[in-house]
Amino acid sequence: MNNQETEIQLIQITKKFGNFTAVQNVNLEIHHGEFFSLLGPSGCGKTTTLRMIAGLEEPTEGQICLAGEDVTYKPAYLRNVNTVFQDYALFPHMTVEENIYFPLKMKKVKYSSARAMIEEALSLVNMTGFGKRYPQQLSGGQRQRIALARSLVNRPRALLLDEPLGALDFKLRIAMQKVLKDIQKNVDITFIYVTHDQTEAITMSDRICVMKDGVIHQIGTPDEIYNSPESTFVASFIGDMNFLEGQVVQKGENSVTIDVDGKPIISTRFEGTFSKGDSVVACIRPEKICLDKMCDSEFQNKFENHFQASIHRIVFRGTDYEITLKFGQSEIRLIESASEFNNKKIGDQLFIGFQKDDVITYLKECKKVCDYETNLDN
Amino acid sequence: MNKTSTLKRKGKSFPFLGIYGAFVYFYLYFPLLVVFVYSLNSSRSTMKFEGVTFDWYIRLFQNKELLNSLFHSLQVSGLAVLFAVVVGTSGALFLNRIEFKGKDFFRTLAMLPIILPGIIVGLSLLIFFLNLKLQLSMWTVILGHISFTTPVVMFQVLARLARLSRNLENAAMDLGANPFQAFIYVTFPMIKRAVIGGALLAFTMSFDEIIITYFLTSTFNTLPIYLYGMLRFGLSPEVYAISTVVLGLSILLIILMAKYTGSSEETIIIR
Repeated sequence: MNNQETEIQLIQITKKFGNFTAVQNVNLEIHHGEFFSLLGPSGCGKTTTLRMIAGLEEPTEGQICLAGEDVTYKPAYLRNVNTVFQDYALFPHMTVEENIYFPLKMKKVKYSSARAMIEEALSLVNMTGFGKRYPQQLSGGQRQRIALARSLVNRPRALLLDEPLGALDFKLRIAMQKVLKDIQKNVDITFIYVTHDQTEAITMSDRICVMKDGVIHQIGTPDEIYNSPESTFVASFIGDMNFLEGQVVQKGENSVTIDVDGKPIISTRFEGTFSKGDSVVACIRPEKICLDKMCDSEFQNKFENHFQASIHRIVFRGTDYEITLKFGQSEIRLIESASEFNNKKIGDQLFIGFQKDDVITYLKECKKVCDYETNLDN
Repeated sequence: MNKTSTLKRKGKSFPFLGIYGAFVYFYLYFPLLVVFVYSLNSSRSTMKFEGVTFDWYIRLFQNKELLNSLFHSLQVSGLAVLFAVVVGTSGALFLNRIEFKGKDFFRTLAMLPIILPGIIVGLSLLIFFLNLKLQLSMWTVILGHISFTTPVVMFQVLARLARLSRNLENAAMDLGANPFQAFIYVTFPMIKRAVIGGALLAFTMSFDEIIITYFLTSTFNTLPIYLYGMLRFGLSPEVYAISTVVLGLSILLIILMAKYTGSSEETIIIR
């Protein structure tokens, strides 16, 4: 990340399949050595974007630059970027070694001089000694590593990964995330990572680009994306979020007060402009909310927003509890660790409190609301 | 799970199924066995078996006309299959890769020569060639055979391609292979078995084809045509002997084909 030179640049990229617009007006600038994620639900255009960078798809409009060179219409085999496919795409009629040799063979490297490079690639992914096996004789995680070794052996400028961990089980996925991150540090190659898994994107990326319906919603560091989502879609897609619908009752310079089912909620962060009477959505992360039996002055001083609500649902999640409280028609979820849980019961009347700086307010447009509602259904 | 267990139980409670199956096989293969046995008969009679001899087989190899027709058959089938492999494989790649309007209709049209009765194909080709003022010869016979060998190879390869991930070829190109190299190093090795299997199946079909050949030939005799001619003089151990040879050859080809196409799911049952 110290090196800020631009590796890949997408300028006003649009891709249409017949009448369907898969990607619309995408502008991206990816820096050298960056771990950059394209994140979004299925069908958001992230894979299409990746395939256009790889050269497997031609954009309908726009320009793609690779290290300053316009490669928009250059075929895939002349581009110095490699892809790790979701199904690994290892050649089943070749051994592991032959698979890794393939890109070198295409560059007319003799097998004798390629040997060392193949061995190095194998050791990079911790698969030394597997060279003589066939892909069918390997497990999913091993195939994944071989695909990685094959894509890295000729040192491309960028590695494109299309949901590479999608087919692995949970534990293996976590392990492979670490492997990927370590390898990326070792080889100093730009990684562009396509995923629909927000946790994966947040834990691994330097920067994330959130997409939906072919449009970029936000580009930023994991911190920015998580803590300052620019739309209700980003807010709902990344992490857990409470959505409280209400009306603006007071609009100050730096804060806005919203009436949610009779409770005034103060928010200091908002996207867009709105005035008194507007319908808005106030968003608050469950982990930012505190729960107390008493509403003493200390509690009141700490949390600008505090009111009473009753426990509606309790879900035990192993390390913690997810508690849903109800006030009026609105529900609010929060997380409490097992040690603090203290045998709370459904129906208990408790006080919830959260800071005004943790509430982000968005104008309630029909489309955006639909965004997070459909997302919650998933 | 449930389904298989029910099937198993059914199999146990119906011992007739086995007998029924055996009967079907008996019905199919007993006549072939009779042909084989009588081809060893030392008497000319087709009713009485009088002793074992290989005379009829030896006589086959002294029969110039028969050997000629066998050679013709190999020539026709060989060339028709060679053409089918090249055009059928490229056709399969085309149908697999390119989207165009009326693709399904085109596919059905390509299948027709296999489905239509030989008499229709033969007759229409005959009319067609006569209108073109083409002399009936070995070449018209080969053209006739191509009409059904090509779709046979094409649909075998197409079935294989449909099960192949496009990503393999994409990966090859992504790793620096140009389209030609991607085909040679990745796609072709993957469809090789289907191509060979399709070619063997097409050869078997072409080798014993009689109706289309009959329409499109003048003095040019293929083996099935010659055999048909022999039958006009009645059944003889010689006919049995040549039938046995052809049968053996066909079985050999089918075994080879089964070996190359591997699991049955890859083979479309055409006949």
